[in-house]
Amino acid sequence: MASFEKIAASPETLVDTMRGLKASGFTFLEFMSAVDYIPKNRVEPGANRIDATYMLWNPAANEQKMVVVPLSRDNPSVPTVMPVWEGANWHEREAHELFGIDIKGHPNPRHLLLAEGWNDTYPLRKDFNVDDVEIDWNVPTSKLAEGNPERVYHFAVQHPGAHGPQGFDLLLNGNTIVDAEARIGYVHRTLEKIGEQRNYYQNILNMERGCIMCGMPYIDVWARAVEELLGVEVPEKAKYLRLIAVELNRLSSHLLWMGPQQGGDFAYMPVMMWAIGDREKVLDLLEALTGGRITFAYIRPGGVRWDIPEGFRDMAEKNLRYLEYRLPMYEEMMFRQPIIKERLTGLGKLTPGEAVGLGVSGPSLRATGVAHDTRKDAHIPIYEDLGFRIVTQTGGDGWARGMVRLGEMKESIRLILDALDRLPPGNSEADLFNRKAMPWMKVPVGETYAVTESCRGRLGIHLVSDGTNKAYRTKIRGPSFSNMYAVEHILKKGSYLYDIPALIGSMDTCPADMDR
Amino acid sequence: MLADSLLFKLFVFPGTVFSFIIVLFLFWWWRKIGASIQSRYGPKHVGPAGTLQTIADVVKLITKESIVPERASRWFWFMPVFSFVLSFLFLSLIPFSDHWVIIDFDASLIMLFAVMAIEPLFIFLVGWVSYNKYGVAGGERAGIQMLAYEVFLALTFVPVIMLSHSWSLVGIVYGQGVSPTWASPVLHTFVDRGVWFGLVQPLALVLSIIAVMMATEKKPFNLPHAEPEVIYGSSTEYGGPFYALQMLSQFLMGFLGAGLITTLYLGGWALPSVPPALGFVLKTLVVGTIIIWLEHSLPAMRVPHLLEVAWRKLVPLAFLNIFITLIIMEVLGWA
Repeated sequence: MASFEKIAASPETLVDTMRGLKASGFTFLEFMSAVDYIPKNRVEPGANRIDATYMLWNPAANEQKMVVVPLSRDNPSVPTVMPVWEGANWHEREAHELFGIDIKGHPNPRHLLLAEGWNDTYPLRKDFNVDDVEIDWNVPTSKLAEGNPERVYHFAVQHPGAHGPQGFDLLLNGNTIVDAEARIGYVHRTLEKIGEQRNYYQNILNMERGCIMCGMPYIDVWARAVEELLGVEVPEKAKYLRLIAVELNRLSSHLLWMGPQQGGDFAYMPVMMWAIGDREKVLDLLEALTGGRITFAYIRPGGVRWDIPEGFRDMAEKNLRYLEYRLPMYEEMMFRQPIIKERLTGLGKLTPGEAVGLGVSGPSLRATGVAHDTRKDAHIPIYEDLGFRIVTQTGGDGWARGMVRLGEMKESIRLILDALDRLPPGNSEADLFNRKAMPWMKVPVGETYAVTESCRGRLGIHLVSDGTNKAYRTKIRGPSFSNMYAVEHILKKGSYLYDIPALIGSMDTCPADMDR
Repeated sequence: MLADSLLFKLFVFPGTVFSFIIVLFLFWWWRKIGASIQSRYGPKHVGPAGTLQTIADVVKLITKESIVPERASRWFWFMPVFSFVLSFLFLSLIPFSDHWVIIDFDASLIMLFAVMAIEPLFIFLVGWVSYNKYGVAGGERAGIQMLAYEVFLALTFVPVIMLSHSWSLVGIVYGQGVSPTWASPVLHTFVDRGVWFGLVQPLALVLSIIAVMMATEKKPFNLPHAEPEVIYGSSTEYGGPFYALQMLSQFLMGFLGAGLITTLYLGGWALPSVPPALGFVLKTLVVGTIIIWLEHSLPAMRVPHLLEVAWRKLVPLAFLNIFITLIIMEVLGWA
C-alpha cells in the first residue's frame, strides 16, 4: 500500500547506498527522520528498534524510495550522509535531538529545535515521559556565542528584519559576515508528536497550523495521506474544490510575501500596504468558500467540508480579474524598480546543483532553472487536466525568485478560474463514513507518503498507521526547514549584514513551517 | 520693541515655539501623505482630521518610563540632547526673512555646512554611548552616508555662491533679485537684478534636494535608521521622552533641510502679496511635501549602491554643473 519503495541498509553500507542511489537519479533528499518501534507497538508487534528513514525522490521518474536503517533502541548510531547531501545537516541534527540517534561524523551535532541544555530524553520516542525532562538553561545555545559574545550580532526574534521567530547569530567583520548560525525552534510546537496523540479527524485542525500563511496545502496533503491508507477515492468535484482552495491560499500567501515580506525588507510601504489590501480580496473568496480566512479546516479525508456556495463563481471572477489587472502594476513597481532590482539581483545566488543538494524546493528552486513542481511531478489531481505550466527563471537570485512567485500568482488565478468553469456536478464528499463517528474512524495498518507543493516548496507527510484511530508516526517535511538551511549556507559563503532581511524574505521561509 | 529682540526670535519665532508647532504639523502632514499613498486613512480620531494626534503621541511618550541599558555610558542622556541642540543651531542660521533670522554673518553658509557635517558625529555618539551593537552599526552608517553626500552638497553650493557673490544666506537670497526691504511684497524676478537660482541652476537644485534627503535620512537614503537591517540604528536603545526628542529633532531637521533649498534656489522669503516669513514657510512646506512624497514612494537603498550613486554619478554631475555655470557666466557676462 505504500506509495514508496523501501530499501534496507545498514549503518556501514549507508553512505555507499546513498551514493549509488544519487547516481541512479534519486537526486533529492527530502528528509531524514526515524520511526520508533517499541515492543508493544501494533504496526509490527514485538519489534524493538528505531528505523532511521531517508526519503529520496527521483524527480525525473517521480519515484520515491525510502532507505531504512534498523538500529537498536539502546544505542542507535548512523554515519552522516552530509558528504552525499549537504542538506542532510539539519535533518540529522533534528533526528539526533528528537530520537537520540547518534550521528557519526556530523560537523555540528548541537540541538537545533530544543534548548541546548536539554537532558538525554528524546521527545519523539514512544517511551518519552515529559516528567523526565530537565533543562540546564546555562548552556549557550549557539556555537558562536561560546567564543566571543562581544562580537556576535543576534539577528533573531526581536529584530524587525527577521520576519518572525527565526534568525541568526552572526560573526561580523564590519558589514561582512564571517560566520553564521541559524537560530530556529522558537515556534516548535511538536506538531509531529501532537499528530500521534490526536485522532485523524482532530489532526485536520492540527496540521493546518503547520504554516499560518499557507495552511490549506497542509490539510490537503494530510487528507490525501489518510485517504490513501483508507483506500478512498475522492469525488471529482471535491478534487476541483481542493485545487481552488489550495490555489487561493497560494495567492494569499504570495501576496503576503510580496508586500510585508519582500516589500517590508526595503521599507517599501506602497507595495506593502497595497498587497495587504489586495490580499483581502483573496481572503474574502476563501471566507466565502471555506468560512475561514486564515485557518480553514475545509479539506478533510474523503472530500471537502461543504459544496461551493451560491454566486461564488461571479465573486471569484470579479475579485481575481481585479487582481490580474493589478499584477502587472506590482511587477513594474516592485521588480522593475531600479533600487529594488539592484538589491535583488545577485542576492543569495544558488546554482541548480547547489539548490538540489541543499534540499531547496518551491519557487526558490524553480528560480535556479530546475523545473520541479510537485503539482505536476507527483500528478496531483486536476492540475494536468487544466494544463498547468511550471514557472521557472534562470537567475537563481532574489530577483528570479520574486519573478517566479509573480508568475505563479498569474498561473494560480488562471487555474482557479478554469477550475470554476469546468467544475463537474456531483457530491463534494465521498459517501463513506458516518461523520459523527469520524473521531473513532480506524485506519488500516500501513505506511504512506503524500506530497504536494505548498506555497514554499515540497511539503510531504510520512504517515505510519497502526490500525487504531490515531497515527503511529507522522513525519512532516516542511519546505522552509530545508530552505532556511540554504539561507544559512548562503550566509556562510560570505554575505553582508544589509542583505540578510532581503535574503530571508526572498527565500520566503515560514518559521512555523520550519519548526513544526 | 519685543518682536525685534533676540529673545523673541530665540524663543517664539523662528525659535522654540514656532519650531515645535511646525514639527507637530509636519508630523501630522507626513503621516497623512504617507497614509494616502498607502491607501489608508492615517490619524483621524484625535482633533479635527487627526491634527492633535501628534500631541497625544508626544504626551504618551513623555509619560513612559525611560530605560537605561545596564552597561550604557553616563553620557547616555546627553547625546540626544546635544543632537537636538544642534538642530536648533541649524535653525538659527536659516533666514526666514532678512529680519527673522537669528544669526547672519558673512560666512553663514560655511557655518551651516559645518553644522550639517557635525550632526552625523552626534548620531554616531548616540549609538556608541548606548552600548548596543546595532546602535554602533547605525552610527557607522550615518558616517558613511555623510561621506557620500557632503562632497556633492558642498559642490552644489559653489554655483550659488558664484552667482550671488555672497557667502551669507541672506546675501544669497538678495542675489536672487529679492528686495532688501523686508516689507516689500513685490518679487523682482526676471529683471536685471537676478532670478531664482532654481531656474538657472536646475541640476544643482535636484542635486541639493538629493543631498538634503540624504542628510535628513529620508528614504531611499534612510540607512542609519533602516529598520529591517539595523533595528533603529543609533536610537535603538532610546525610548519614551528621548525617543520623542529624537523624532522632534529629526522632523525639525527635515523642515530646515527643505528651508535650505528654499533659501538657496527658490528665492527665500519672496512671494508676491504674502508677508516674507509666511512666504518662506509656505515655500518650504511645498519643498517638504515633495520630499515627503518621494520618501513615501521609494524603497531603501543598499549601502554600496548609495556610495556608488553618490561618488560615481552625483559628484561628477556637481563638478560638471560648476563648469557649465562658469562657461555660461563667461559667455553672458554675468560675472
